[in-house]
Amino acid sequence: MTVQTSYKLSPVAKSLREIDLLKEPILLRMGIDHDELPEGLWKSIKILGFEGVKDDAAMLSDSSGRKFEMHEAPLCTLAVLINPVHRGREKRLLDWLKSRGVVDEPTVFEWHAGREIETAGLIIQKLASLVVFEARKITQSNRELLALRTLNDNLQNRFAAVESFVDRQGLQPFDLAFSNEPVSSSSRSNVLADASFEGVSQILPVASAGVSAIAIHFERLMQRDDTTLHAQLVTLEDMCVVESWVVPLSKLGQGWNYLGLSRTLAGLRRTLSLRLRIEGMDDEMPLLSLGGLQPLDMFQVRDAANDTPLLKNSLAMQIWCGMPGVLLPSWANYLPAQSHDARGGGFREMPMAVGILELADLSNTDEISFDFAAILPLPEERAIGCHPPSTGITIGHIPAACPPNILRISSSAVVDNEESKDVDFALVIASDIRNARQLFDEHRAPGAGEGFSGWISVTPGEEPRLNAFITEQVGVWQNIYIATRMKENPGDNAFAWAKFRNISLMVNG
Amino acid sequence: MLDQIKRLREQISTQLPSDIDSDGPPRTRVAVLIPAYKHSVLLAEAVESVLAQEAPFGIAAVIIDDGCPYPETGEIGRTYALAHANVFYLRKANGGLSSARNYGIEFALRNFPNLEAVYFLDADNRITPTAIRDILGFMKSDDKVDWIYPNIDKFGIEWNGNYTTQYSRLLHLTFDNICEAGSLVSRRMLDAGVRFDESMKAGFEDWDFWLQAIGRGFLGANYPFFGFEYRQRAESMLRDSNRTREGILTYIRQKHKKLFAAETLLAWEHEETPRYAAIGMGTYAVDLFTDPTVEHAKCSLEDFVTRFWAAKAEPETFGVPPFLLWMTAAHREALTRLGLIHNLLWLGERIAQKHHFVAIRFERNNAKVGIDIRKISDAEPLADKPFGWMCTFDIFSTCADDASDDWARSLHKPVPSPNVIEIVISGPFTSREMQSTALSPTNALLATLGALRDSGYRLQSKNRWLWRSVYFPNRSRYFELLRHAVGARPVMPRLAHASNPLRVGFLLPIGSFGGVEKVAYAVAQALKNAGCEVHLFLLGKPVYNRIPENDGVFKTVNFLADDYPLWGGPNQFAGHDLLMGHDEAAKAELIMGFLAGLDVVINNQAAPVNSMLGELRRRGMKVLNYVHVLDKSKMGRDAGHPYLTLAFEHVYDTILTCSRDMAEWLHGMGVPDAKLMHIQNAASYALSSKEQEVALAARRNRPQRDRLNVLFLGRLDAQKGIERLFSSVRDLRQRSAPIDWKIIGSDVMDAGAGGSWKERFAEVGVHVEPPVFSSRHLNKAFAWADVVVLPSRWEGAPLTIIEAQRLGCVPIATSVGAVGELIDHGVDGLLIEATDDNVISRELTEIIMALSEDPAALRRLSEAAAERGGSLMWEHSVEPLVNQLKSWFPDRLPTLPVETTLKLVEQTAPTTPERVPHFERFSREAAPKQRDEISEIRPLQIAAAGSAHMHNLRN
Repeated sequence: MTVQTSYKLSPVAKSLREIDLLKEPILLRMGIDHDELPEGLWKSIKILGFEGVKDDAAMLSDSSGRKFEMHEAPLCTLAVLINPVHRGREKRLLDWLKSRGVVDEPTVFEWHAGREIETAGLIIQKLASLVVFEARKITQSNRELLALRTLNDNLQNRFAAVESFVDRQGLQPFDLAFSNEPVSSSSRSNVLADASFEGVSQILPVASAGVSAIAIHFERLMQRDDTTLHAQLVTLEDMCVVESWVVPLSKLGQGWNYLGLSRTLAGLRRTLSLRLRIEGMDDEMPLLSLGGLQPLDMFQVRDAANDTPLLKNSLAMQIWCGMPGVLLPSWANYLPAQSHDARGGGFREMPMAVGILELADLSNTDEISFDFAAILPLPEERAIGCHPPSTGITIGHIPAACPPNILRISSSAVVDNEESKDVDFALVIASDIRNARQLFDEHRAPGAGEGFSGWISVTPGEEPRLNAFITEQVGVWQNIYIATRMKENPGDNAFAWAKFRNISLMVNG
Repeated sequence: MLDQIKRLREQISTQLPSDIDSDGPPRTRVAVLIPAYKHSVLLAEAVESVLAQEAPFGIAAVIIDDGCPYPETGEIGRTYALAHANVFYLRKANGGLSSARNYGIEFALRNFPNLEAVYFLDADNRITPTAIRDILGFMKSDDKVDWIYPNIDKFGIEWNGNYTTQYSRLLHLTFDNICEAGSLVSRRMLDAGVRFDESMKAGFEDWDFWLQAIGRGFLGANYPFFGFEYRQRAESMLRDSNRTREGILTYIRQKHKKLFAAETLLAWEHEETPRYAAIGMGTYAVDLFTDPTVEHAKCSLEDFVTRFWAAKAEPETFGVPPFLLWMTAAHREALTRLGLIHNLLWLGERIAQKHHFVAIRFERNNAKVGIDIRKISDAEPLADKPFGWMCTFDIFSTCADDASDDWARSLHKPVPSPNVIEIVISGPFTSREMQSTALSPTNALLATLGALRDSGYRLQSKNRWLWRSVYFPNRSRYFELLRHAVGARPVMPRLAHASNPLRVGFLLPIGSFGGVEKVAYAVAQALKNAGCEVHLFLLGKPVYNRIPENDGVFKTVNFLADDYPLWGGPNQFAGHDLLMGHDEAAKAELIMGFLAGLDVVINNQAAPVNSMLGELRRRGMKVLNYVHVLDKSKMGRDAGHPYLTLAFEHVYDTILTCSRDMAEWLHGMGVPDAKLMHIQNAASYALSSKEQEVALAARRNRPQRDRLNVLFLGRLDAQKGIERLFSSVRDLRQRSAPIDWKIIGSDVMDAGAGGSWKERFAEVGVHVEPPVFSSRHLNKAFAWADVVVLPSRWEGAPLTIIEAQRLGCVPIATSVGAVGELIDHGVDGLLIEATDDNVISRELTEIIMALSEDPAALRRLSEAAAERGGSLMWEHSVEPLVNQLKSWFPDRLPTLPVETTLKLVEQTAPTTPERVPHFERFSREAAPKQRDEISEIRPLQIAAAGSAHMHNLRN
């Protein structure tokens, strides 16, 4: 809940009553005398009469009927009680509130004499839903706070690592932390051939923090381009894939092959399991070298599918460690990872992939029709064009582009023509166009899993950033909706080359 | 363990679709209980980690605000409860962590009908998103497991502790609380009433919680990839509790006394980390046990080799028995048959820790059971073929690591390079038991070593694979935890029998043929018949002189076999040197280990062990002291065990006396009456009524003779009044009295100033026969004799009198000690009240003369003596003791005696009203018999003897 103040706020002009209304929730009454309301109600909450709007100020009346001006929207209008006879007059009030930046319109209840309890019940119901809604928002804030705290911890550790890195005069350590040398075996068991389709797994004998690279040893392999080695590094305490590699066999050689991590693992120490499988080859599987007999069954090489030991040996391997969070030294000869999962927790701003931008399309085709595409992916600019109509709005969507763990979607808003009039931009995260429309029309506040940036007016030459925060994370992928309209509506939409540029997602973890 | 994880993963993969309710939100199967007190901000983090759980079933977070003074805690709790259907916020008055957790448990049980487990998450800790799913699956994959505990992964002050090892109750009790409160607990445990102790507010309440669970038979398990994150800051409640650790531990030990009892810990050791590995010879089978007589684990040699190297690589996670034994099962069974196997293992363990190898050899000896310990050297080389070998895991491990095995191979030689001690066990082994095996134990030992050295696992033992820090002790060294816990070194490896009989230990200084031993053996037999399991402990010379009648009485025979002083010490009490527990010579740990695992100890005049009895009692053992006789010093001062009894009176639960006289003395010296129990002596060996009748009939039908057969049976020493006897014999010989003498005894122990008594008796024409011990020889001697003389200076309640009376042999004895309680003067024997040596000798002479001249009186005395001697039975005498044991150990003894006492004695022997044995506890109200009034005795004498000659007896 935010308090928006207008530039007209002047302490001198402000009455005492007005200040009061900026500090507590109130009820407004319309067409109802104060005395008509039960004592129990007006004793529990401040109830003011809405008398109309004069000179851009709302005219309110207190319990004694004394009128006063209200320049600012009240902090929290719980509801509006209206005499059914005056139904329709509430628009004036709602418009005034809207003009003061109030997004959440107060609910309007008809006040019927003799049905006070029912009305009070409705108010309580509304209040209760507000409390729950607020609680959800607070828990979401807590979640973000937790993520920030975790991020802070990580940053602390990384800064400390950087400091020690500086102390080392830039010499990045790259130490062999563990080595299980290959032994020649008379059986020469081919564990990759013996394992199921999911390949083999091997628990590593070092903690995750500090691991920079893992070397595996091939005794024999066919160097083919059409066959790939898939490797994954998984933390067993939370079953997270922290790194993965896809390497054509042609890039592997006999002997040691170094799987380098995107950056040395940081964060809490976990147990790592290395999973290896070969894709694209049914025969002549590469012969992975094995270490000596392993008396601890936990560390015997296992079938990744069912976790059963394949042999009483562990894999031959080397584990190289460095400074947590730091890239491998440039001189290290290693196979780079394909994933970027090794960055640890915290917020990450991820640009939307160009390929996804190309999926953007018009949503409200029943309302909008131009000679050209109203929604135009502009991959070379990392942007989507969204041409506003002279009346109404143009809504585009990018299907299923919003992952479940998203916190925020952002975009720059640009009107890419000097001659254009001002254009309003908005972003929405919603499950379908119906919900998106309700949000764009500001008929309701975003619910769980939804987000709305609000409308922002953009003058050519400006490039403000729009942010739509997810109210509450839900476990499903959502659509992203973009919309533009002319600030003057209807207005002249010629040259209104409106573009959403550099759309990015902030994810947690 | 990995198998269990594998099962879990399979389970998860199969459970996923079916576990989600199709008609609504998933049901709550796990409740995460989060007590909150002053962690208002971090609380949100804990709750978030619950909300982030990825599980195909319902998980509820229950916040229990334990009256936290920070409003923020309530705000956050309420907020989460409003925002999430599966978060609950409970507010209660402050009662401490235990109270909060219990509150949460009750809430969960009331409100989640499908609850399967609860997880305790402290408000400042966290769990990873997969934790609950994985650990619930892990728990459900093994029906024997009821709680799952994590490794400790700390953040903040970062530390990762390896808690992964097979769950061990022994470790959990004796090392530390190895189970973090952040564990998953089954509903079964909660339904069984396991709760946190709300009086424990200073920490370790979780330890107590697990101990309650253990006490109810539940077991835990570690899940190595748990995902528990413990926030470690510079100060914590745990640290506070570590400051007050000893105080809390004392409370916990008191509360869970049974769990901390030596026998409980021993049983867990046997089950979890057996102390000995007996490696089969030629069988490739390995027995793993602490007590070989109890069902135990076995494995193949191959498995053993794997475990051996695993233990070398990750010693705190994997272990093998710390002591290795090479001996055939047949030889182990032979030792079991003789009740020696536990003692051998105990001695072997003790010696193996000081020397490289222990050789074991049997020697056949039907007369005694004994132990001889000798160091192998050029002077004393090894015998041809040992019957077994023992050594420590450490030594064998060194041999396995060694570049060469030459050192170990020299065990084949008469004087091997390693330091070797040989334990020679003598006993009545059968010929078959003495046979050696095809593969000698030496070869078996070397073959085992070869298997280890050739193993492919050997290479891996150099690397450590578990990355978490070591916290636990080596799993192969849990025996040291046990030792520490029971204050013993080493601990006798004897477990309670499955039926859990009451185990009573009889402590004796030596195992000879003295009265103290005989009484101890007889009481042991009676207690065994009453259902007890009796064990013999010899603290002095490691020899038990075998009495065939006693074979099978003692379940085990145990020799301390150490340089243990049987008397003396640096402290003084009433003119007596004595040991106290803290004295080095008391060998506290050795004695504690020697006697570990008993329910009751009865000390039968083993003086130094008194110093340790208090400690045994503190550990829950009942301690009894058996007092027989008030000795005399060389100068005639009262001395001996009754004084030690006074010194240690406070450590005894009960003091047994063989006479009312001794009980009176002790009471007079300050021992509370309630501690005193008189056990009426009876004959030390069995005699059937038929045998008794035959012997008595033979006596009655004996042709009238002019000569009197007089017997002396005992040590030829001052206590027995040997000078008095000699004087009397000499007088009677000089008078050419019609007396035939039979003096049986030995003067080895106290030759006296006048040289050998044997020679002196020979000088007066009396041959001294060597001591006899068997019942047959004793019966023969008593049957021959008309009278038996005991001119002792001091006595307890001599068995000789009772045994002689039983066969109609009339006792003539000085009225010392409790002799007067055994002889009704002039009725069933004759007492000499004088104290002066000359007077006693003269009276003895006169009585013998009188009886030799009055066969009728002799017959009457003989008949009355036979009746009295035959009426005394041990099972009646020990009845008060048995009742006492029953009151201490309800349900451990059968209601009725299992067998009759001293099996050959007929149980229906009548008791005369005048001589009702003192079955009941000795009562102070009973008027002491007035023995000193000659005027009262004389008429009895006259009446009994019915002879004019008797008039002269006192004149």
